[in-house]
Amino acid sequence: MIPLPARRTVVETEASELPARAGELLREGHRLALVAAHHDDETAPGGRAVRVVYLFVSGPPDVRVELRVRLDADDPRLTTLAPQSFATGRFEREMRDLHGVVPLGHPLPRRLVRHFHWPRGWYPMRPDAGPPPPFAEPEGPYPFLEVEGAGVYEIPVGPVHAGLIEPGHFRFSVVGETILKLKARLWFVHKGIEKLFEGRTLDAGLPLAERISGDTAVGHALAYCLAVEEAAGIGVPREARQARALLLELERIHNHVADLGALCNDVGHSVLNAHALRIREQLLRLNEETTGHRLLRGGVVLGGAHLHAVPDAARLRALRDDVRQVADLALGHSTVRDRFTGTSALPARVARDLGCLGYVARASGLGYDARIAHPFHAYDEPPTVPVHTTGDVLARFLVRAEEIDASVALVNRLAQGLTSGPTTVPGPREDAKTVRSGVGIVEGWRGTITTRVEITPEHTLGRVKPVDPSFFNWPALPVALADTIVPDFPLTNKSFNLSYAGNDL
Amino acid sequence: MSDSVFTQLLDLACGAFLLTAVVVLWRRELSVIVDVFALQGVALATVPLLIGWHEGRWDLAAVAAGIAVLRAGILPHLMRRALTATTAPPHADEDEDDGASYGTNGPYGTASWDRTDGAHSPERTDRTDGTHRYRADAGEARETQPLVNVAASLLTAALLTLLAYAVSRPLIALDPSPATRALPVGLAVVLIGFFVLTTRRRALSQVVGFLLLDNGITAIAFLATSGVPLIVELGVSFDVLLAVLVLQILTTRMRTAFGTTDLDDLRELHD
Amino acid sequence: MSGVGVAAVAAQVLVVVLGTPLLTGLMRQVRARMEGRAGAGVAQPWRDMRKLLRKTPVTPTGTGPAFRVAPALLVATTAVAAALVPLASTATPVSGEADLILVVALLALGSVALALAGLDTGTAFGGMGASREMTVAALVEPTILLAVFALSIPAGTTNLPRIVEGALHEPARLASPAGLLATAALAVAVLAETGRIPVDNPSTHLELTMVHEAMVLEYAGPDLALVELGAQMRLTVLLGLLASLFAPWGIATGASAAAVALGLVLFAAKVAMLGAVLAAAEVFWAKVRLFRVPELLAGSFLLALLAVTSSYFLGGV
Repeated sequence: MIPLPARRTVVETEASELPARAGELLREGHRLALVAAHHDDETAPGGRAVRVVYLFVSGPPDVRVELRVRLDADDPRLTTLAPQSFATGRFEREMRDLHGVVPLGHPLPRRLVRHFHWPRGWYPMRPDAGPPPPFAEPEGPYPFLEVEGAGVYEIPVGPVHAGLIEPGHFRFSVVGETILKLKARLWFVHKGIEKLFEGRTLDAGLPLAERISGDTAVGHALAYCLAVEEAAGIGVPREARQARALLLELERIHNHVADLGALCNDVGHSVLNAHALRIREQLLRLNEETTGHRLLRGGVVLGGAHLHAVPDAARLRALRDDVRQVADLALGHSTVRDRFTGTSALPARVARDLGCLGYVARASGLGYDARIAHPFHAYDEPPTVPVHTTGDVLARFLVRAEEIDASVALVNRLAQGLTSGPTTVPGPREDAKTVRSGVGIVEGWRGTITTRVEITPEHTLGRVKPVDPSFFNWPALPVALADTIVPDFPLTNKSFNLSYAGNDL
Repeated sequence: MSDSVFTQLLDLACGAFLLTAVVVLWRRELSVIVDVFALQGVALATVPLLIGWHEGRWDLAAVAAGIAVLRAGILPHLMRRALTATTAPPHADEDEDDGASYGTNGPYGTASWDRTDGAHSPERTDRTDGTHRYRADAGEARETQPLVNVAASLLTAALLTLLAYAVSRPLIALDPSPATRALPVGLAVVLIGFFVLTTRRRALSQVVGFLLLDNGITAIAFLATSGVPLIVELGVSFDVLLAVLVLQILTTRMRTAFGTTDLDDLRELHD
Repeated sequence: MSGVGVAAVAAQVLVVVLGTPLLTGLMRQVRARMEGRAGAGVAQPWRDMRKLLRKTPVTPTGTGPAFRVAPALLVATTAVAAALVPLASTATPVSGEADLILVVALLALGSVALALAGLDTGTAFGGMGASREMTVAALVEPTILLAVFALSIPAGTTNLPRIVEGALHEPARLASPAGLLATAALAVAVLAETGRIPVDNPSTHLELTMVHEAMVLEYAGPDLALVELGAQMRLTVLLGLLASLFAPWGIATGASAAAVALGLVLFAAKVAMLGAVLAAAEVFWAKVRLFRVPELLAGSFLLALLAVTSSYFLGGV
């Protein structure tokens, strides 16, 4: 049975009605998945305007509602939705930096994407932006909030770190060893991916999507493909959907195994990290046999999937038993367990308010999973979603360990009946007179990925807006660190393991 | 055996006896505390064995065997059973861990996201494709926050040892011999047992404190008087055994009725 | 006698200075093999030191004499301690002055010099590392002094060579409760003093968790080589101290050169074995939360105190 593609309800909204409509949708239990601004020229149905799209989703059953607002092209302003939804507030700040859309009444109208040496008044996503002007002298130092008090000092860390991790700047305000406040400054790896997508052919957009966040190749590629297939009307055979689900789980497994080892390493128990990395190497070789790339690139293609080989169930089960042993050893070690327990607990209320996704949310009691809420494949049994309620590092460790278990079982079920080789259907690409849009929602290994795509009548990409779950989860990190001591920060950061590149785009 | 060898071995046994009492204060995991208590039983049994060997009294050797069986075998076994009974299955523990419930409507309702494998036994379910149950919560198995923190407890134990030494000086002066010179160790363990009994929250830790008390008294009896009559020792041991059995049943009942044996949480009368 | 004695002292210092990188290499290799890695080889610390010595020394602006003097002071104090501790022989020209409390004080002086250097840099990491190091040191010093006291009671003096000779003549003393408890207490104290797991992770890359490494983040080139050598030497000297106090067999007590040579060889073997055992044990441990370190050290303090008291009322000697 092919699940019906989810229908999206589109509601054209006036800018003045926006807060009321959005509030109603949020109260009904939808979550805001994405906010994207588009610059329409004269040929568009609404004329020259800045069109902002708000995507609200919920499930099961899969419900998607889009609110579209048209703003003045030269002076786009709208009332902020930040008091109703924290995540929307962040999207609005991003839109302001990249598109020039002003959110009126925003409680924290500060730069998000633009670092302090970006020239004022230049918005790179506007169609008339042109090549970047020479970057000027910094307008001033980034105003980090200073914490006053006796004995409070600041520790700046990054963006260049001592280990091989992505760049981000953290400013701690500390008294003794307790963190009073953490401010994270990101967007050091902003590559202008959304702009790079514009004008590419549909096939040329896929490699770019795979590289949005290197370790989430399948997640982002799949979200992109689902969106493009909805927009261009391309069908996907059932076997291909099954193969795509399998690749998604393989990605989940190898990333979680690396995280389990890294968490043990960060408390000084590096022997378990050595074993976890050994298991991961086996998984990466399995990935290479399956798709020809250790990180599963090239597995998901437009209109289908491409498997070189189907993973062997016995091999996966043996690796799973190995992982179980590593996790049991970690949980049985009293010092490791003591370091994990109670460290940096994220309260469920905070996770819900910030809109957290993925294993961060599941460790704090929120079990939202796009495989169940927005399925692209009809699983014979719904995937197991482990949920814990304590929200500390131990809970995030346990959620990952249990997800590995569940994913291995799911892969072995999905592998039955699959054959190797490309399974695509040459897509019937109809001619469209207007710009058509599509949305892809996928449960990547970090959390729910949402991608919205608009295709021009010439079958090129007009606008692509990918949203990585890290964009939602980053604000939760400073909140979880309240009452934590400084030496526990690397452990907490690793337990969140958020993508800098996926966030910065 | 010669006097000097006897003195050395007796001192080693008494040293181990005191050290195990200290480790009970130091460690937090209840299973480790029970194991250490078992070791103390072995050290305690060595004392009458050595005294009997030195003086040629073989009834003391029988007493030593009895003590070893009781205090290093039966009592720790009963306590371990109480421990596994009180460490509830992880599934139940999760709900108890965090009081609030998060069943809401909309995409974040947790009610729908239950595990589908449905196994509820406390042991690991190692079916070939089933999910593996990890030890999610060790809440009952650890003494998380004693009334006096661990560092202060250890310093208090040091003071109690010195106190024991000071108090028993006149006793030793009555009849200085290698055995009586080790008297302060017994007294110190009695005091440490009292301390554990009064400052620990978990019922099982308090049971261990009570048993330390009794071990200390037995040690004093052997060191000061080369053993009490066998019948008295048997009577006392039987009483202790009964006490532990009752406490084990009580602990299990408390756990099922109130969900915890943390006595600080049981301040009010319940229906 | 004095000729052999002088040679013994010189040989002790030389073996410690030159052999320390080998001990570090051995410990890292044992750890690597146990974790399933190939390891860098036992001579890697030698290669690292050679590389560092060839680099240009860099001093951050704003640092003063405390920063510049600390590496040399660290190595010097540890070398003097290596001369005083009877690692290979108890009959040396400095035996009369080789007081246990003096050795402890010298090692503490090295710690303080590094902590001051960490503060002198003015960076957040230097300050953090210095404060953590001093916290640990403040808790460890009473333990070391009490354990020392426990050992000096049977010998009647705190003079190290006398204590060692006493242990050589009366091995029963080592198996007494006082001896065993003092060993345990000193072992924990050595772990804390030299910054090993479970107190500190010497091979971590996470600056926010570092204790010792954070103080020396600003050193480069030959200064860094000296600092690393000094830290490694401390471990060697402390392990040698443990070996001399609790396993003194083989230490020369007279003036024969052959005995001294044998003493050196046995010293190297004992320290290598202790180091390998420590490295293997570290594989199974993890780093405790910073605020649990006082618990660990309070426990070792208690053991030392029990060692002192039991040497009074147990043992009868």
